Amino acid sequence: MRKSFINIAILMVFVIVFGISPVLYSQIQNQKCLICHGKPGFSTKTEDGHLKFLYVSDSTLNTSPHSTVNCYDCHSDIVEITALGHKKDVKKVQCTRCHFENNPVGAPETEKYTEFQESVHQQERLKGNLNTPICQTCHGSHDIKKRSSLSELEMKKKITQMCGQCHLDIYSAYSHSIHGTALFEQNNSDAPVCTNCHGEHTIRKKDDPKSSVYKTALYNTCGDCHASEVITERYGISSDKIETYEESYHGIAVQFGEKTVANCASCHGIHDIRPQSDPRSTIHANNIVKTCGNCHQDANVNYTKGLIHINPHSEESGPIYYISSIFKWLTIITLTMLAIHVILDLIKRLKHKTIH
Amino acid sequence: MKTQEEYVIRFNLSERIQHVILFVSLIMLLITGLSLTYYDSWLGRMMIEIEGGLQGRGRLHNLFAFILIALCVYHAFYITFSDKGHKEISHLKFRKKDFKKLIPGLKFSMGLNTNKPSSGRYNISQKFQYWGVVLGCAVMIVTGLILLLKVWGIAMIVPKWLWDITGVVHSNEGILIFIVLFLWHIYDVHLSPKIFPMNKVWLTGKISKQELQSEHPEEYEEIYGKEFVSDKQ
Repeated sequence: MRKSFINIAILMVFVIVFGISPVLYSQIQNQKCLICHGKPGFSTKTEDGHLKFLYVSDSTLNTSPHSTVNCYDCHSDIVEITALGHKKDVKKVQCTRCHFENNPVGAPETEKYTEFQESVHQQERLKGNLNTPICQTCHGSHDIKKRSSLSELEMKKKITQMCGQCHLDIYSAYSHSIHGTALFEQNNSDAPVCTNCHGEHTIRKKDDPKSSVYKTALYNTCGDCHASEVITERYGISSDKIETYEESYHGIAVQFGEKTVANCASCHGIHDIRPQSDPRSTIHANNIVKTCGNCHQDANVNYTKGLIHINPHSEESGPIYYISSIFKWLTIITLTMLAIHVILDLIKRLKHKTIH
Repeated sequence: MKTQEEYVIRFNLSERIQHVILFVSLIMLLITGLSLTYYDSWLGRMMIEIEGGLQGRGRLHNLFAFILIALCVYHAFYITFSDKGHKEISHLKFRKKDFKKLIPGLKFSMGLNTNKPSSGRYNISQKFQYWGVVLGCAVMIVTGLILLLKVWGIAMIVPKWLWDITGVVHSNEGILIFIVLFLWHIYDVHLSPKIFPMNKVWLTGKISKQELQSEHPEEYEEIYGKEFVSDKQ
């Protein structure tokens, strides 16, 4: 009886030392940091005279997905804390300490970490531009949240604001576009935001051939929504715009890698796409000659006399539809009659042979 | 069996050369044109690559188009002002008796009638083929020239709808011409077991007396008189 009590006691010690103590240790460590950083209003003056708030609320930490991570795990360059605090030149946290593929600490396994290395933001940083965003810029630092904690709509709105911090002019153009008004005014979570066209961790320069908005790739990106029957049906717009573009002279040339022909954005605009009914739209009846004129210097009103995005199989195309139909039947009839001509001739020759 | 065959000159050198230029330009136009019509098939893509990409394909197509146009202009002068050409075109005109032979001819093709309707220098099928080429070339040249306005940078002189219709007509007519030429003319003069591998008249210009008698009995009569026909029967 006494022996088993000792066994239990030893086991308890092991549990405390190896099981609970790391948790306790991290708590103690965090508590140590929070002596200063837990005070609301705790701040310092930066070199350029700005006030930098350094307060980290306990509850923020505990509700983030990093609640079990202690301060040292990320701020690994702080090795010594004295009564006066720690060294001043604290480095930016490197998320890649844990967030890499096949990591042992249980950070999510995704290719995004490596994808980001090739993105325009990281590439520019490697060239020495320190204004480019790093993980924390978009995801937040202490207040980082899981994606699932936000609704689709909240997330999309937040994304535009995140990108807009730096790309302010684009944010303002976007917010007045048909996509922006759908998001902000109609609270429509189908509306595309920055990342739907540009990608998230894979964002590349628009003149990088691998970019989703590269000249010859753009129509596919727009097609993610505009060729989707589900989405286009929801808003009563046609789903054949991409297909008809592909069959047009512009579309065929793009598919053969021509970079000087018009793609979706050449006519419809980029971030400031507006509906045709809007007088400021590039494809409004009053502006269309000017829009064609961007490439075709000779464009005049004759350019506007006709349909664009013609589907020869749709009755809406008028004369084109009827002419295509006439030709279709003419071709079928000619083909049938000539096939009969060939078959009859072959039969006759065959008979002729058997007689002799 | 084979004796020294008597023959008649059917086509002179000028006509034979015209024919060669016609079919070379038509074949090249069909290849370069249909590769654009079927740009989304592997064959179309492959052909466009061979033709030097989209721009190379366009230039090649235009080159042969101008060869064809030049030929058509020459041919128009030929049939109007030369004696031989003028004679040929009067032989190619549709006559009332051609249409009377239409039904017996169809019956013969279907094997319902054993007597082949007699024909002159050109039978009705050949007349249709000639005028089909004339009509086809006319449509293709007119629509093709409208499409060329673009290349010349003066597309603004026509409204966009005319341009669109022109494009549809040009590509569909091209497919139709391809079908007619290959299933009708090429079959009749090359692939039909009767004359495979080919009827050499386009090269030599000569037609044997025997063939003339069986294929163009009325012309045979004009040359050799009637008694030979009755002799044969």
